[in-house]
Parts: sequence; structure tokens; C-alpha cells
Amino acid sequence: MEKEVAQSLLNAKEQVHQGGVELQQLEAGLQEAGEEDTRLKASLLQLTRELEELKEIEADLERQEKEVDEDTTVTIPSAVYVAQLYHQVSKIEWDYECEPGMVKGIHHGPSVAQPIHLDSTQLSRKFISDYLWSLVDTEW
Amino acid sequence: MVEDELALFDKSINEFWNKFKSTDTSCQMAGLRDTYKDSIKAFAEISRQNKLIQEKKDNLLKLIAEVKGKKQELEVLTANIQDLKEEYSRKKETISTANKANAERLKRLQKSADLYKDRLGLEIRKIYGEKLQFIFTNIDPKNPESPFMFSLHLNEARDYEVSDSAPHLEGLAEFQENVRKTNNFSAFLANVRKAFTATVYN
Repeated sequence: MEKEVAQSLLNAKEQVHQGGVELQQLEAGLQEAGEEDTRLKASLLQLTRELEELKEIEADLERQEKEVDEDTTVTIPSAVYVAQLYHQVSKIEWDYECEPGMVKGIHHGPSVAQPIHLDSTQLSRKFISDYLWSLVDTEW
Repeated sequence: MVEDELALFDKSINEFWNKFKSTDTSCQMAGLRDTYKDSIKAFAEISRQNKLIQEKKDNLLKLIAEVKGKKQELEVLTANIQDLKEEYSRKKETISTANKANAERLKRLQKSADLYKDRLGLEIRKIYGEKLQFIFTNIDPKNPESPFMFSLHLNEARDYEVSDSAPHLEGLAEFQENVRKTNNFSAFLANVRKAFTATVYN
């Protein structure tokens, strides 16, 4: 019986020792996992911030898209309308490539197309306006 | 603490062994009793240790699960951010291209309008109330910049309606009737200009 008791004590001693080792390993594991958790938390925080910044970029892009939309649906059609109105009223088509200082184009009359070629450096603005309007038919 | 316990056990065992070796039965019995007491202490310690081990195992499993969760979250966020960045890059490109094209177009349209405005001496403006304002210049030879204007809009009956002429034009109402009948806006403007010019020479 003394043998059994002694053996029992020896086993207990061994078990406590093993337990101590296991506790150390667990402690190390917890430490490591804890550190990884902290690192991941930091990374997540950084990415969350990045996502917030992207939201601002998105808002800015939306604003820009609206501006493009306004140009396409309002500003340009409006400018087209005015340019077309001038063209429709005067029946004049300009030569945009002519030498500077020259007033060159074509007046599309009811029957004939008449070329326009005036030197604005030699003529007053009123003369040019009067001349161009004289090409426009006053008959209803 | 565990080391202390181990030291204690060592001591117990040595003591027991010494007792066991060298004493008589009654001493042996006393020794056995002491050893049993030590055993009980040892088992209590083992029990305490086991509880602690289980607790730490549970914590570790929990922490590992949290780490896994965070890793997944990180993956998702990273992918999400990447997708958004690509999308925004594409959008930026599209916007840039559209802006360029629009700017070009507006530039050409403006150039065209400017030529008409300068050469015809006529400015056409959109103003409040869905109206168009027509401003003639180069009418008065003494004051070419002097403006002669009127406004136009389509009324509820979708007819041309003139208003706010400056200076006042006597024949404007008649012109309005004519353009309503013929829809000849070209002749309308030519006649208005002629009439404005006449006011200067009178």
C-alpha cells in the first residue's frame, strides 16, 4: 500500500508538472493570438477610414456627374438652340477657317446662294451689320 | 506557483521515503497518513490547474475564432475597397472624356454665336420667364453700341408674344400678327431691325 501511495504521489507530481507546461503553452498561444487580434483590429480601422475617404470621393464624383449632365442636357442644348436660331434667321453660314479680320460666308437665299466676303478692317461694324441684314428678306 | 508545489511534493516524497525506509510500523502508518494528506493536496492542485487550463483553452478558442472573423472581415473590406477604387477610376475617366467633349462643343457653339452676334449686331439671350431677349446694336450710327431690344415668348396658346421693347416700336404689334400668321421669324427680325433703324433717323 505504501508503494501505491508513493506511486500516486509521483503520478500527481508528474501531472502537475505537465499541467504547468500546458498552461505555459496556452499562455503563449493566447499572447500570440492576442497580438494578431490587435494587429487585425488596427488594419480594420485603417481600411474603415479608407472606405470613408472613398465615400467622399464618391460624393465628389456624383457632383461632377451632375455637372456633366447639366452641360449635356441644359447648357449645350441651349447653346445649340441659339446658334441654330441665328442660322435660321440669317440664313448665313460662316467660313470659320478664313483669315482673321475677314467676314466670309454664304447667305442661302430663297433661290440663290450668295457668297459673303467683307474686310472688317476696312469697314465699320455698322456697315457690315447693315449689309448682312440687307440680305435677309423682309417679305412675309 | 506550480514550482512551489513541485518543490513541496519532492519534499513530501523524500520525507515519506526516508520514513518508509528507516522507521517502524507506527511511524510508517503516520508516514502513510501524511502522504495521503499530501496526495489530497496534490489532487486539489491538479483540479485547480485543470480548471485554469480549461478556462484558458476556452479563451484561446474564442480568441482564435475572433481572429478568424477579423481576417474574413479584412478580406471582404479589402475586396470592397478595391472594387470601389476601380469603379471610381472608370467613372473619373468617363467624366473627364465627357467634360472634354462638352467643352469642345461649347467652345465651337460659343464661337459661332459670337460671330453672329458681332457681325449681325444681334444678341439673343434666354431670360427669366422662359423668354428670349433680342438686343440689336449697330443701329444708331452715332452710337453703335446703343441697344435696341425686345422680349419674346410663347404664350399659353403657343403664339409668339412680344413685350418690353426699348425703345417703343409702333409697328411691333403688326409684326407680331404677321409672324403668328406666317411663322416667318427671319422676316420678323429683319422688319423689327428696319423699324428700329427708322426710329433713329426720325
